[in-house]
Amino acid sequence: MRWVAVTDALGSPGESAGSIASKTLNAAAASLRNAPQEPGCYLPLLQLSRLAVAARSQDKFAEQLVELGIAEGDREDGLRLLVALEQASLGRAGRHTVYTDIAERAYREVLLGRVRAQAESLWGISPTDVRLALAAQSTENGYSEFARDWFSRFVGRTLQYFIDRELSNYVGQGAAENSGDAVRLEREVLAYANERTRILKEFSPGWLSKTLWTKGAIPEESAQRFFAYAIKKILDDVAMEADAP
Amino acid sequence: MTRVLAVCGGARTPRRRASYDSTIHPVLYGRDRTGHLVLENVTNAIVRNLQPRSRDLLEIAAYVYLADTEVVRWSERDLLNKKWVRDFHFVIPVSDPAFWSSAPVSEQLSRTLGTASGDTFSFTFAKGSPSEAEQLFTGVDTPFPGADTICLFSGGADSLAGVVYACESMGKHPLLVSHRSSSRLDSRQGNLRELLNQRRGTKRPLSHVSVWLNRDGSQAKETSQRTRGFLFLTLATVIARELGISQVIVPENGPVSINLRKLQQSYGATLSRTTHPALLAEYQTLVRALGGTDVSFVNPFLFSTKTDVLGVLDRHGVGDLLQESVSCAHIQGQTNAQPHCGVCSQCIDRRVASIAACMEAYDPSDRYEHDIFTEAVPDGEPRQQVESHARLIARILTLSEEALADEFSDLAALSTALPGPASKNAERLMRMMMKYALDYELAFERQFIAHKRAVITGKLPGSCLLRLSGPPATNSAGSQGPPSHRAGTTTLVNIHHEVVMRDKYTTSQAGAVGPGSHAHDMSFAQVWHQAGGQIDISKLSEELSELRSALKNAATTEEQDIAVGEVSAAALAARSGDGPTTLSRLANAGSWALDVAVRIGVPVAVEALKRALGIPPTP
Repeated sequence: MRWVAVTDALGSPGESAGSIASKTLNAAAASLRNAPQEPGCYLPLLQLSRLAVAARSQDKFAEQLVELGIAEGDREDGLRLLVALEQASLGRAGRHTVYTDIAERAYREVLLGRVRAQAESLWGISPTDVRLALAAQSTENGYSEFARDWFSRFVGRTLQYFIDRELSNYVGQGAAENSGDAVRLEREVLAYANERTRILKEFSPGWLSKTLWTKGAIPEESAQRFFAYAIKKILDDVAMEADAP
Repeated sequence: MTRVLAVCGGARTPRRRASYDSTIHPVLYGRDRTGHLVLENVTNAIVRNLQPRSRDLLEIAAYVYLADTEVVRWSERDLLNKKWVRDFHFVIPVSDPAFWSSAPVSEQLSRTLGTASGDTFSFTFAKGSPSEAEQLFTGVDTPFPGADTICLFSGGADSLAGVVYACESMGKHPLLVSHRSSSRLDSRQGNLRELLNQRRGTKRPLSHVSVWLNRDGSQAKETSQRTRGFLFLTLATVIARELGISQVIVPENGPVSINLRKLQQSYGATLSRTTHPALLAEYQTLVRALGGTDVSFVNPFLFSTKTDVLGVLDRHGVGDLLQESVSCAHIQGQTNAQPHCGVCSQCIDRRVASIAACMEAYDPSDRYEHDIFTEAVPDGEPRQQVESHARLIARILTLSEEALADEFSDLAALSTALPGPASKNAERLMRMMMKYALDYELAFERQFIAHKRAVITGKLPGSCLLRLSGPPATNSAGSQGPPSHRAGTTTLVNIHHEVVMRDKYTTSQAGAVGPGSHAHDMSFAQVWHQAGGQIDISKLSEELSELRSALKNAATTEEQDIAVGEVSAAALAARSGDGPTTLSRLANAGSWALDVAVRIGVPVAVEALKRALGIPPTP
């Protein structure tokens, strides 16, 4: 029934992107709650967090790259380094599923986006740009934005994935007037996800500093629990809003 | 994930079996065969001397292909594509099990097939019997005189242009290699080869090797066929190695080859990678692991759009052969009169490109079962194909550079897999995707003009491309939708003079929707109109022909080749009196064309180029 609500929303002219996204998130909730069981979902976040912490120091960052098995040649070019980091994360993810692929995409987008802001051009990236951009995410403010950005993209791309399975059938006769309007809808779904994940800003810096303080590093189980908690909070909020009179 | 045991060629089933969801038995020879593999027109020299490893590679590719088409990976109810990825374990008889089982070879084989298909592969190699090798071939005694390169030849427009490009621009004498899955396809490929040879006149004719591989007695259960790319590369490699040829040309236009995500639901191998650079790179590594003749794989059109590729045919005077090529993915069910379904991805790109390249005369709409621009597109996959193309273009034309870089973040990995600086590769690929969108916009513009009365009077069905890509059915400014996407000024024809809109919301069918979004300020129809008859179009047509010849002689890079094609298209448009199209093609030709025009002294062409490029006209 929940998926029927999504297709009904897509078929309704004038239905807002927020309403479609919220119905989709409700329909996908059961499978999303299982996502923390897939290591490939939280490992990208774990790696990003570890890299951000390591990037505070040039030496520790270099050690982290060696630990991840990044080849020397890949450490000499910023874009190659980014791709090698992603592949290192992919290599540890194990089984590929839609959710792990989306988590990787979110990883790539966040990393590229952060480094791009540091670099001179869209793709011309130096290894120093990569380290400095990551280091900037390790402060309290930086990490709160960083973690939220990753979750926002993970949730947003997940929503787009589900909506996209039906959207083409309704372009011109539903929530999107034409393909250009469907792009607008896609963007608004991402904006909705960004709004829905604002809660991450509040608790992610606390989680990071507490974990580092008590454990001296970020263990995998801790990242898994953090991921599971964040997903639960996001879904609970949406469900509560849907139930509200 | 579905776990599959594939026991091939009558090999013994392993005693200890892990738990598999299914066991299949692909067989290539004898009474129990499930697939049919024959290489036709292969010289006896090859038959006699076929290296055992080449034969093994060929059979491995054939078995993998048969298994790939046997095991279904998708159902509509599988919302999370859990069954999309399959885990194959193959037991295959080969001539040298120790060699194929060695880690470098076996792991690279698995990695290459994984790149092609998104599945996981493992192998057990058993000792096979060599006695059946001869059944692979129907030999002829004529060798392939002078062949110095292999060109994959499907009979589609890109492969036709690839052969022409190899001969005319690379100075090669290619041997054409095809996969032949039906007799209709074979006769088309043969016919095209004959026509090419006729056009070559007294030059040495091109030879053609056709390889039959199809399922015996049953249709493919799984139609995604992601290992097809591996099979094609294998066919070419085996023949290249036997003839001592070191280069294989894999002609495919860039957007199809890199196959960026059109739909937000496409992840992993749901995107086809038949000629993807990552597959070519992995395959090359595999060939090196096999030893013997090293073979390199080249796609000369990696940075070209399909419109550019059709321009290659036009430039070399064989544009009319486009009508003899067939690009459709749906071979079954199409007629000779309408060989194109019109709604598969290949048909959509071809139709758009032939219009944008001014070659519609050689690729008329009545050769397509569905005219996507004006006819209702059937529900389901056809509609999704057409709409997803339209949406990709809308994304490219509307999103900010940063948002587009997010959408195309896959380019990062791709750009590092190509030779040269990664950042330059990424920028080049981004430019190509922008050109792809502009080609589409140009085709859309022409179709809109051709059918404007039907558009304006609301006669077109809602699911046709002119409506999907166009304005809403009841297009009155400000009357629809929430404020964030309310229609302002509708500019259907807007190609050049890109302006980055900041906080001003100006939307059209694909208009800007926020800060940092892009829009285009002026159409070529408007630019032409503003020229107010100052450009003598018949004189312009003459001068553009002159400019075209000068550019052709001066061109040394692929970008300059493209500029030559654009000026050729502009010359054709000018000849037919189509001013706006002339200007839009000249805009694509760019500043190099203008420099040459100034140098050779063609004032009307210079003036037109300046207007097209947004440079103030000479006072």
